[in-house]
Amino acid sequence: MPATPLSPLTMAILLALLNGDQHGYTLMQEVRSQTDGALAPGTGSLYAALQRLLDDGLITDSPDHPAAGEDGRRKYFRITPAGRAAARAEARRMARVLETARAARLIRDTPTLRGAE
Amino acid sequence: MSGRGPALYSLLLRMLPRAFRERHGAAMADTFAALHAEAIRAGRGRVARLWLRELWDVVNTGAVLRWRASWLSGSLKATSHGNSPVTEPGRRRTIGNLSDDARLAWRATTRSRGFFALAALTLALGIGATTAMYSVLKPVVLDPLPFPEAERLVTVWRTWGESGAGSNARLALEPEHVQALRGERDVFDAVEEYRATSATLTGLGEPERINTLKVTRGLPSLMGVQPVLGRVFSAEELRDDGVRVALLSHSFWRARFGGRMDVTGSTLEIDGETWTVIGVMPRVAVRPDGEPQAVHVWLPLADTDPNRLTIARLTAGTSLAAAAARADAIVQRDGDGTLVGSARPVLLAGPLHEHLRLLMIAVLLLLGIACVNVANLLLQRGAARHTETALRAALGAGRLRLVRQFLIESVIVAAVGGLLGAALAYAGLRALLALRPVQLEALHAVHIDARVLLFALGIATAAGVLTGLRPALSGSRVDATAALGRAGRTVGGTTRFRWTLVTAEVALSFVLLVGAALVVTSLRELAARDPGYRADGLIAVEVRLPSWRYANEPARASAFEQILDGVRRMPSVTSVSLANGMPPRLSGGWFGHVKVEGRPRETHPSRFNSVEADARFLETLGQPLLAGRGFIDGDASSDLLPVILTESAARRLFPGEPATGRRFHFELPPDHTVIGVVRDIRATGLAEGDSEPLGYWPLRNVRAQMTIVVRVHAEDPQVLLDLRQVVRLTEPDAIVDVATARELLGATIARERFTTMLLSTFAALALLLAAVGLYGVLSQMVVGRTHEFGVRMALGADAGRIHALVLRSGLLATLGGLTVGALLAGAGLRVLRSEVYGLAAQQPTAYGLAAAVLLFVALAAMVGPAARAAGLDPMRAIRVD
Repeated sequence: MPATPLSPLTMAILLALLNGDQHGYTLMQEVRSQTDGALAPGTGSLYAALQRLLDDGLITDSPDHPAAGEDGRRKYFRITPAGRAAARAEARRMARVLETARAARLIRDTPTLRGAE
Repeated sequence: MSGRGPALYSLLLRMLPRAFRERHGAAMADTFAALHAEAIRAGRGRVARLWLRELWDVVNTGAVLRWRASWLSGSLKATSHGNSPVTEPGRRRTIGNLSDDARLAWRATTRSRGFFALAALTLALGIGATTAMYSVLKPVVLDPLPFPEAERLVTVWRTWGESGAGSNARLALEPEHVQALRGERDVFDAVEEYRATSATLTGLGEPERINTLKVTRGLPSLMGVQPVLGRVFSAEELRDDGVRVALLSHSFWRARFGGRMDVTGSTLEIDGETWTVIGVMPRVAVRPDGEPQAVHVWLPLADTDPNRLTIARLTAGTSLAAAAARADAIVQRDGDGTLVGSARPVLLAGPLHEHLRLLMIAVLLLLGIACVNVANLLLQRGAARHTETALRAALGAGRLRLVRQFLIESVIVAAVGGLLGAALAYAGLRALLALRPVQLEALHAVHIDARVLLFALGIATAAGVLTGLRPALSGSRVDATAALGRAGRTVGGTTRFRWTLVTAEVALSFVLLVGAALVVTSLRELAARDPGYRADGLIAVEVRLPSWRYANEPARASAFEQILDGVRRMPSVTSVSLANGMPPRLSGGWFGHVKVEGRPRETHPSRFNSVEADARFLETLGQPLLAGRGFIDGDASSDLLPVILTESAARRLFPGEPATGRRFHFELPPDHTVIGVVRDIRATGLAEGDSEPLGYWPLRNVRAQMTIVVRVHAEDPQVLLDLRQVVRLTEPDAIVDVATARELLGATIARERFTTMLLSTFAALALLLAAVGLYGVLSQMVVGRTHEFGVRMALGADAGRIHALVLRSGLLATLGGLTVGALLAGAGLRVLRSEVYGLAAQQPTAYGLAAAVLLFVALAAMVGPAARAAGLDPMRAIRVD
């Protein structure tokens, strides 16, 4: 498990995959809606990030896709246990950061992120 | 998911590394197709935005992936068939860091836009100017003969006399000489002949003057060129009564026939005759002597064609001297005792080449300045970020990492500068071609030389990278605590180096400024010269009748009489004359050994410009008569054979005695009688040195091409149009060229004007770059010494002292640069000497002018930083850190 913080895009991808296997286009939509459009990667960046996650063993190609009758080019990705762990560690780290910031009265409330905790 | 968008995107994916593309390409194309369809549903604007974003993203991703791959080769291959175990920490770090570095560098460059724009623009200027200039130079100077083994091609002329007036007169060889040269197989591989001439093209719109090159059968193979379409002339076609067949030049074929492949068999109307096109020459087939004049049509050279020029290909290993000796031996003869000469193969060269070479030197200086400036800017940036570098080093960033980031920044600057430079080169080339003097008319085939672009980019990048490395290395070596302790203050070594760079920039700019000042003053003097006649209100109407329709002299004479009548009736016209030319566009000349009555024949031949003109010529031109009389109407048929000489011509033939009434002849009798002497004029243009001797002969023979000399009250554009109309009324197929004397005189110094304009532009750019460099270093100095200035002020130094302190540093560098530049310019002037008219007299002025301009601009660049230093609040300045 990497010790360094995950990049926002990597984290967003992992979070999107928690709800099930996804392919490029749906991942992109997911990432966009998660961040209210603040993060809108290009296709190239998205796949470069996916390749990195593959390299690090945090995600894998989905063995169930493409299903019969589906476009053969469409590749699905699945989160691995290591990926789940990495996302959890990152979420915890973020939570700690939030706590610290609240304690320092830097911020009061972060309603959008509370659900992710 | 429709349309060409996704297909285009798949093509775009080729920019990505192969392994990555093979792994994800199909899926990416699929994703893009979905995005594309979504954008189409959302509207046009969205599609464009999608494309922009994706285009940028692919380029960016490609770069990032390659950087990543170069540091982790094989990782993709290892993982492409399945899951890889979690990467070991060390490796992971490198990957992440590298793409992060690229992003960091990109952000850093976009954040400090001023620096970025300045560096990229500087590079672009240097690269653009060098590339455009070189692209013009290559075909003219460096590679005038784009033929295989062109160094073995020589032109062979006959010269008359070893020294004196005739030595630079080059004459064509006699047919028997050419025949004899062909026999010398051990020296000459091939000897061929050609004749460059012009003809009238009709039947394709307006009648038009075209340049024709008449060649012998073997000339194309001697040049090493073959038609790209069709065939060369056959032996039968070269006979005088042969079929009329023509080869088109590549550009003429493109321009007039749209590059049609079925052009062979088409016909052309040349000088009233029908010629059949049998082929098209390749683009490289320029004139065999490398003269940059356009050739439109290649025709067979008939045995009866006069004025043939000879070109030969030497056998391998034959030296020019050996060939010259052999040719000398053949041509030398003492037949009637008047012609003793030698043939000299002349290596192709000319004054125009010198001009362009001068410009190339100037442009290389500019590239040098641009490189120095970019180096300087990067150093400045390195110095400004010294603290950041030290901080990152202290936080554990390895030296490699720091170096890498600087390198990436340099590469980004170079890439953007290179792109801009290419655009500038293209625009510059277009401008050069638009402004080129007439001598370079054949340059239409010029294109941007990609290798040069790369070369200039390479040099500039190398300069940037090398200097970019310096702060990175010194920064990574620095003891972090010490560096942080004196954060913001520059490192001494780097500062000294930067001052050296600025001094170098000032020196190089000074050289360019001196050069520009010299040619500008020289040009002004040239343009202000008195031509010797009243040029204002003088118009030359050059008329070329279709010669095939006016075969005999009376027909031509009556046609011109009719035209002259029409011109005389125009209300604004005050005087009209008919001649075979008008200064500065003369077509005639006399050459030979003069025999003055009562004296032995001169041993050296002389050259006289000549004009054949009617009785109104001197009056129309406004050239004052000094002695004797002008022509009267009967002179053309007079047994006296009257001639009018200019002062210098009279002095040359009859030194120290009155010329009127004296008699002389060239080469062959009968004698001419001098009936008058007129004031000297610049017969061939403003650039002409001392006035060349000129004589006027009465107009006896009206040729197809004549000049109608017209004096008007006022040169308004309508008059020029009306004059053309009057000619067309008499002969619609005539080629008419109407130009004012001022225009013609201006054209005689077009080359000088061209050089001057370019050199001035380069000098201005150099000055700008030097000013930027000076400003940068001084600003940096002020920032770096803020603390010190604060202490000085606290200790009692007033604002004026601080101001002077900053100015002194800048002035020292400027004066140092001026000194070095003056020495360099002195050396460089030897190159200029042959180029610039009246050089010696202008030197002090030019140096003074250049120094004044440079000092002024340098001071302007210093004012800002100096004022900032003087305006510091001492209490805050001390606390800066």
